[in-house]
Amino acid sequence: MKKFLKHISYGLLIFVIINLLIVLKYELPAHEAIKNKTHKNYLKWNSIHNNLNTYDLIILGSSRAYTSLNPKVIDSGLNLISFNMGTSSQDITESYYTLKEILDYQKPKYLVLETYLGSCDDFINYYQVYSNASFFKSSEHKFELVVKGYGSKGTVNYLIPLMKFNNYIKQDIKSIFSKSNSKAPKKNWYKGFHYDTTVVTKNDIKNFEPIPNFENKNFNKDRFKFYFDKIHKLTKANKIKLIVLRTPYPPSRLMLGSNNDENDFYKKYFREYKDVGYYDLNSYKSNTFNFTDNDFSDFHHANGKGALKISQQLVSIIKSEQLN
Amino acid sequence: MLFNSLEFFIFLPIVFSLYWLIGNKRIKQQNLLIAFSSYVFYGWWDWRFLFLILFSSLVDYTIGQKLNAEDKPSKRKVLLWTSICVNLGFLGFFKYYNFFVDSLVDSFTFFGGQLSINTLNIILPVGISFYTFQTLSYTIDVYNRKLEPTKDFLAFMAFVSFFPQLVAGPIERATNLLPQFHEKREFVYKNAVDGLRQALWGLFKKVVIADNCATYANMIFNNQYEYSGSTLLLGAFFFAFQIYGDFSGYSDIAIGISRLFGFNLKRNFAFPYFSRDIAEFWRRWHISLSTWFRDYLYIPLGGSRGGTKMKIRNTFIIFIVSGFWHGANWTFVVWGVLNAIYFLPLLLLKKNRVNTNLVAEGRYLPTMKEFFQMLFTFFITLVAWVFFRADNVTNAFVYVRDMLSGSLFTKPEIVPITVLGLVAIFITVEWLGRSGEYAIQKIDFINKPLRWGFYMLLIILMFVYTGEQQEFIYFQF
Repeated sequence: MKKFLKHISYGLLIFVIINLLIVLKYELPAHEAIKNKTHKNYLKWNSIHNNLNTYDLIILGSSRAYTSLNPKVIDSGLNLISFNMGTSSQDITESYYTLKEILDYQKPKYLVLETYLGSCDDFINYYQVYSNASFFKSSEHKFELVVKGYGSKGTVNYLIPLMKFNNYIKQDIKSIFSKSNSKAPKKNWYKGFHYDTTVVTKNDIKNFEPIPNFENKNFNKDRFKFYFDKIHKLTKANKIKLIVLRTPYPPSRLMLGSNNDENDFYKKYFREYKDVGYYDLNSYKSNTFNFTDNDFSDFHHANGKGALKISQQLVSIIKSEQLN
Repeated sequence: MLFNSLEFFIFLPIVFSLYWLIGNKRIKQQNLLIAFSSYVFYGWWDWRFLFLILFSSLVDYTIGQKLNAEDKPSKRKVLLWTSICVNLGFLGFFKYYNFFVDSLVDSFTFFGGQLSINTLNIILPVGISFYTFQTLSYTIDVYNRKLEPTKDFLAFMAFVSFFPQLVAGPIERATNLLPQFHEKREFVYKNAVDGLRQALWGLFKKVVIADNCATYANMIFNNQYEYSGSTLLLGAFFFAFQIYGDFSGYSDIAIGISRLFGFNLKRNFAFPYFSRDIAEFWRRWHISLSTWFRDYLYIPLGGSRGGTKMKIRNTFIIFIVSGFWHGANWTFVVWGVLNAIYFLPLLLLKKNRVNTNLVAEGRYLPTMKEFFQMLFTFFITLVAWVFFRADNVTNAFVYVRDMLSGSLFTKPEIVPITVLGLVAIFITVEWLGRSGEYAIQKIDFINKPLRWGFYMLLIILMFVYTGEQQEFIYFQF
């Protein structure tokens, strides 16, 4: 038995060492970026924490939000000050705790929540979630996000770097086997918005897959409803107008599948909330805002050109909401 | 509690430590710990079903005692049928009630009639088909005087609820497992290492192979009308490896964990996708269920001893019942029928026991003949899996039709290179280790640093390539 336990301990020790190496490999650049003040989440949270009660409109959501909604366009169109707090792979649970943290420092009039199937599927990019949460000043919010928000799976991912960084390890392994010679596109950040000039390639368009739907992706409706309800209550208590958006996809991709159950679900679900506006930007004023594949940088992110149209859509929505 | 969950990773070391702390001189206390922890393990899903398993244990224990004391054949038969009725009654109610009601209503509607019977909102107790068959084997063996009934209720409870194999098998025979609860269990380093290794391999199969294949199998099966034949073939391929990785993975974990506690369970899978004909496949797939049906259904029905008609009848019965055992859906019945159709020609031509040895024994590569035999067997199994996976029979037929259409020879719309790569590595390891009980059993020939490196690689792959967590498929059966 002693020998067995000794070997188990050795195994655990090696496992711990591997995890430490992973931390060094992946946390160190983030640490450096924070030191050099180039870390995007660090900069975003600095803006929120240091500019008390400045922003009238806050955007929450995933990378689909921070590549789509340009505060410059929104601010000039609506004459207010907005900030894009979308973060990579942000899901509904994270949006809720992010909002809680934001409301300790800001008093926005509008909250724009971007949602799509990935906002509440089974795949959670824990590294991104925890990277965002690591900049919360409130330890309570941080703790609640990890333990209450994601339960035992969240805790394991928080504690085991191999799991937390598995997405990045996978990407690195993939890059060993694939060549990438593409020219670096122009990328800028402005008030949380990611301005990207990349245009999706014809080859990428050829390899597009249909938009996921509830048949082939596990959308956790209960979790979505649970956290959306919390977001709704929070906005209501703070007299914030809540607008929910489904940002557009490249048209070639939309045409690949006819299943639109995700959008149908949102439409039906948000109808129950009289004070919440839901808009599918794939079809909102499609005559005016006609999207082409060239408005996207890849299979689901808008580029700078697409973001201009999407931001104008939001301006149009808020203007019409104000009229109502 | 799932094997691939945080709860289990806390639960197992605690039970393991307590178990060996008690020491092998106190068998009763060890059995008590096993029974208690098994009830915790099972109750983690839904504590209400603990009463079911307790009741089932009580009934079969009592009947076992009475069968031993009774000499009158008629009374013994009544006792046996009581056990069968109670066990299959539970199974029938929880698993098949709604199916029969729906089918009855549908039949009436088909013939122009109307019938109004409400289905019930029944939750299927996890693993009910497994422990029901396990307890049934006990009563039948006692009835046939192949086994002395146990007088130790605690040992019997531990046997019925033994947590490593409680919810998805292997379905153990009382003749094999029950006596082990009466014997002293020794901690043998070699066995424990072997058990841990098998559990590790099983976990890899589940987390890396099955769960990653599941993502694509679900995507393709759930949107089957939108894909070409080649993609549908890929979907069936992914499902084949999902179900194999999932189920054989579970069995490996169960067998491995049992060895940590000093128990030896029966082998449940023997590299079925390397079978050269369907008869060999069925000797290698879900062995504990196939042999259960063989011993308690096929042979009592006359087996293959009678004439051609009897052989055909018995073959169909065993495959259809086996299909039906998997679930209350016509798709499983058709899956069973299809396998019977595959199997019958071999049986009638007396070629069902041609391939009983290991394929390409002592060689690295199979002969061309063996290769094509394996490929053909795998392909027909793939077609059968379509029925197993599809939501309904119509969808399954459409799936097969579309899969075998002209678009079979076009480029698939989905080519997940990483998952295909992982499956390719998996097949290679399984092929190289096919002479063992499980693929990496004979890894000892590699020197220690390399061996440990390999184990670490498996662990890293499990954390890095963990798929979207799926419950084990066979829990629903």
